[in-house]
Amino acid sequence: MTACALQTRGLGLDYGAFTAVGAVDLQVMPKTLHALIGPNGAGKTSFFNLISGRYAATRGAVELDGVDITKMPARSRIRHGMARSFQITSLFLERTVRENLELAALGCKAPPLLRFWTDWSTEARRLDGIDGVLQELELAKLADRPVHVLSHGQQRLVEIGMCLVAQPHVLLLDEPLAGLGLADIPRVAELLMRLKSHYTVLLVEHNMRVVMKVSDRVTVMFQGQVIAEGPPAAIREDAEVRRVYLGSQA
Amino acid sequence: MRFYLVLFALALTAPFFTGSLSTAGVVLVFAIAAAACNLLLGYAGILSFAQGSFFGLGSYAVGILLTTWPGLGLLALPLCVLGGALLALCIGLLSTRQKGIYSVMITLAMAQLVFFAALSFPEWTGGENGLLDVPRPTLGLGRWLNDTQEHYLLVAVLFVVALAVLDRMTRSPFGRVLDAVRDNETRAEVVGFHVPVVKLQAFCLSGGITALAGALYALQLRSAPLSSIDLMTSESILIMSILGGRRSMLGAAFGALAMILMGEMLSPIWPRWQMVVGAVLIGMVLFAPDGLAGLWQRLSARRRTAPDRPSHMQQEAP
Repeated sequence: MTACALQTRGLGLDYGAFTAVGAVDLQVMPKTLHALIGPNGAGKTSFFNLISGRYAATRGAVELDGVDITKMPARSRIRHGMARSFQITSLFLERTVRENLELAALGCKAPPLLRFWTDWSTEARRLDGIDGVLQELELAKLADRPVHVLSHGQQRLVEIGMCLVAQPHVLLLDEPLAGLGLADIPRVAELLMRLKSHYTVLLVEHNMRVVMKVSDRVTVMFQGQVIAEGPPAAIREDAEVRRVYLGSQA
Repeated sequence: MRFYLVLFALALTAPFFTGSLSTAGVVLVFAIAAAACNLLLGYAGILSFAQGSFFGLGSYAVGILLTTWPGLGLLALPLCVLGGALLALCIGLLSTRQKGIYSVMITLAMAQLVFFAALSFPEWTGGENGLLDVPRPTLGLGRWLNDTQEHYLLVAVLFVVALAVLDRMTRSPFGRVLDAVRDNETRAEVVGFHVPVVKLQAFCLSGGITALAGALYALQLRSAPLSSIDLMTSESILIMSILGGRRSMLGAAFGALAMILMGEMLSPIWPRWQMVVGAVLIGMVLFAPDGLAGLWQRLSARRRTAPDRPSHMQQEAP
């Protein structure tokens, strides 16, 4: 058995007396797409924020490539190969697509004290991988448009692009399909399929059809706990999952 | 290129606008302070009431250094920059831990603390009288220029250098990240930037350059008055920055010029002239939030598009 790219052991979070995430054990294998599903309020996003370091865990541990990163601040995790996207698009709206990607590329390698004597444009030219990501996401034509004029779907792609330029090995995607129009969904689903050949992906998503199609493994959360885990086909047939989650659709 | 031309032109012509070399010197000194304030206000998005503390620290530091060791000469200036940056580090360490209004309140409280510290150590600062008889370092150009001209030359050169350095900073990786932090702090953090350190860096750079302005001010007056470290100085610097345009280093210079010219022209007519400044400030904030620099940009944009308009109308006419 190969080592996990990402692993949690008994990871949990309390908000005062309320337990948002119980004690979750999760193992994500390298170069696979692992989806995290569950009804609203199941604790997916909280769990996601524990992994990405936005919230401090109440208990348990997170390991990235076998290294304990539980106490590592969010901004350092990116330097250790973990990048995350946001459910609600969070971009530098005044900047162009290219500049957003450049800032993301600079962020993962810049020293804490930033250079204030060199010119940005010469510095930016030295950042590599930007054009590749623009090609991959089919954003090359929009590269010099400010982000706030793009459509929602395009902004979601920039959001993913900002993770990719950091050249991570683990990619955390928080509802990349949220709010997308019907026309954009197959495009992003296809992108997810392509991403998993290069990256380890942990995905939180509500769109079941896409999750079942692209995932290698699915973990189902309910009330802060994992209630099922397995390949998509098995999850679809799981009686417990059907009861709490797919109930209305089954 | 045009930026440098305007800088030089301003440094050369300021004495004609203001009528004297000494007033022109004060304009350029405050232009440096307002431009350094822009780095925080316009780029980092930090409202700091401690700008006067950095300014006053520079004034006192140059006074103490040059009265104690007159041989230091111009070397006193970089020491003042260092002192300003250190004070900014102390204040910034406290204020950048908080966000929004709390961070503003901390700079305000610290500014008051620094003011009363200056008042409480009269053996260093001269207390309410200020520090008198600050000697000016000589540039060694006495054969061609008198003392006033020599000092103006020093101020003008440092004005051009300081604004050029600040302008360069805004176009550096540091400046871009400041913009990003102002735009979306959470994202800047997640992308990997250490936001508190970036803000602290902005504080130190702004504080150092503001202290340089304060030092030049004391040399200009040949004294370091207590008023150079009070809250009113912080406010004046902020007003100049907003009047001129907080996202333009040249704008800051014109903000300083406008503010000081208003004072020169109005104070003999009406002792309450600052009410006029208040009204102008409100007007600018409401109708030209990007200050004089923004007005200028709007005007030149209109001029550029104006020739197009007739041809458009011809095309549309049947």
